[in-house]
Amino acid sequence: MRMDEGQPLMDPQVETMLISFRTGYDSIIGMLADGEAKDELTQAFRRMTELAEACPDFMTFSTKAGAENLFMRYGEATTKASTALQMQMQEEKKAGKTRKITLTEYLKTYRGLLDQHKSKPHMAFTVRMHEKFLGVAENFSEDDIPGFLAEAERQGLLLKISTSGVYDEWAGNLRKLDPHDHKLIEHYSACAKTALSARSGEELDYLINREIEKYRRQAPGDEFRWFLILRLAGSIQDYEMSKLSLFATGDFNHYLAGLLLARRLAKDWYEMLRTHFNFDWDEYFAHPFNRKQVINQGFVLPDCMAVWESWHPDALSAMKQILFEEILPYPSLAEVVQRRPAGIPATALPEQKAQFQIDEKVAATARRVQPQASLPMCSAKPE
Amino acid sequence: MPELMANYREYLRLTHQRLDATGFSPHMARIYSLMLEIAEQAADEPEYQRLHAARKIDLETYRAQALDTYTARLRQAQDDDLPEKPFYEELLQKIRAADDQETISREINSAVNFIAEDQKKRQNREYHMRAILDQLIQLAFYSPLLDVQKFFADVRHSMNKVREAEGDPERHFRDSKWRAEYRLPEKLWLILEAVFADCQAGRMPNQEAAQAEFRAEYDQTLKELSPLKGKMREHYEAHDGAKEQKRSTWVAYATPEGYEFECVWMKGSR
Repeated sequence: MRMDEGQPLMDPQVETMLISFRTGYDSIIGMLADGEAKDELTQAFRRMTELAEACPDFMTFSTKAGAENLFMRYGEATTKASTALQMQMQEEKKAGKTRKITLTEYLKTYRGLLDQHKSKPHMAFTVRMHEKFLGVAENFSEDDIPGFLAEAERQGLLLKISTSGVYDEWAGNLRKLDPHDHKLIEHYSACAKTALSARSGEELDYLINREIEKYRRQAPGDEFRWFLILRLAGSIQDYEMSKLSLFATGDFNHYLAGLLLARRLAKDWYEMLRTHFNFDWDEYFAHPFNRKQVINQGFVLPDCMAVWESWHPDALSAMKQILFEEILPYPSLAEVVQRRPAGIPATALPEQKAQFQIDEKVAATARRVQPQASLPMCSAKPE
Repeated sequence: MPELMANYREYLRLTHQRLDATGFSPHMARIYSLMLEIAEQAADEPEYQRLHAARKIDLETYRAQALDTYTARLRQAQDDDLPEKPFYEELLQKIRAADDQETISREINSAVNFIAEDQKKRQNREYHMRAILDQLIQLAFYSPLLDVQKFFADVRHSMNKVREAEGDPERHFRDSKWRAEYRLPEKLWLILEAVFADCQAGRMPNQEAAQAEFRAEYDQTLKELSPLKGKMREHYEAHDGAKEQKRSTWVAYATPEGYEFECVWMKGSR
């Protein structure tokens, strides 16, 4: 659904969505008799297409469609048309007027879905299953839908065309993760694996929902522990910043109380973690993923958590030195002044970011190093 | 066309076999079995269509699909002990009792919307309960030097938000299932429970001793540091964060062993 040559192309995200709407629309409109339901659906789809062609990006399209209440209008029109079609078919059946559909007509929806999936690179397995499914049809005559269905069922394709999409979504999301994020990798892998093993839609729904619930129950404990550790890291930084401000200005009135408070809080927080959670700095940060969590300044590439903007790689060891030499033993600040400072390496200031186009440099570097980043692969593979 | 009917019977038989084996689609498996029975009785397609209509297979298929879908949801709700369990039970009863597809569809829409609303409220409750936990833990370990009144007000505000989402913060706080999700040690829960009780009763912790101790530390440090102002400046300038500090920005990427770092910009570089 691209515009004519010489005109701008439709935004890919909008295009994908429009293909999805068109598939639904096509599956109803050809069979539905003229009437109010057909008119409403036609009008809603026409408006959706006009808007999609007129909007330069997904955000504009989404905002404008939302303002017109178009999504809801389209949804209601589709429901109304589907119901009208079902009633129409029942009436036709009662009156003995049923027209037998051909195999080509029967497969129209699946061909639409295949086009839709082809526009998404991560849907390779789904595309393969749809192609295989449609390929089976080539061996059957136009009136032999039963023969085609029996063969598709024999080859397990009726199930696979419905579950392959679920596999591709989970396996695709898995590829976006950091390979050291073991818990999320385990969760996504379990979901992808389930999509391959389920024998019906209901079984798939049940097993995936259970896996999601299992992960959801584990998440608060993990997140809360992580949040407490982040508080400790934050207190150490507060201490360091207050100390630098005090030493730079000599302004006791402004900075001394804050400095002492930050130091006290960092000490208490560490003691709490140690007492109640058996927290051990070296043991915890021995895991690369935990180290990353503290020095991660944000993800740079869309859909890739294996590449990120980072604080200086020595930042964490400087924080450790400050914690174990200046905070926990609680030396007097007069003594700290005499020592060689650890110094947490600083990041670029906002004005430096603008002046030296640092964000652009970060994005370019991220794109360059991305091929070297190792991405997790789904251990469960479709045949 | 006897061949088409034979193919159709084969399709019904295979699908029934698969669905029956899963144990998750009993109603649809029964429908396929019923359709197979009709197809075996019928001599040709028109007769099959007549029998199909007489047995109201379209309506029963719609009902069976809905029953299988929401029975699987109920099973998950039971196995995971979820609060939507009774809503699914009620929906299944309504699906069984319905006389037509429109009624089934209407009941499903209404139940699904209700469950979604209920889940939204639950998420809101959870969000504010977590805020309470965060405020309590700060009060428990920082309270001697904190603006306790502000924290108490924050806890009360979060408790009101839980109530707005149709929850009972006190009951929720003591809910063993909720507490199990946080996996906090028992001793810590006891401390948090005591702080929670103080918040509810508006009992302020005695901050006098801690504040006096802090004041003494402040005075002592001030006395020690004042003659060292020059040294402080020297210390600052020796630090990376002084005038000549090397501010930098890095990009990291994952490798099987850990992460590799690449410096993108360093102060002094273009």
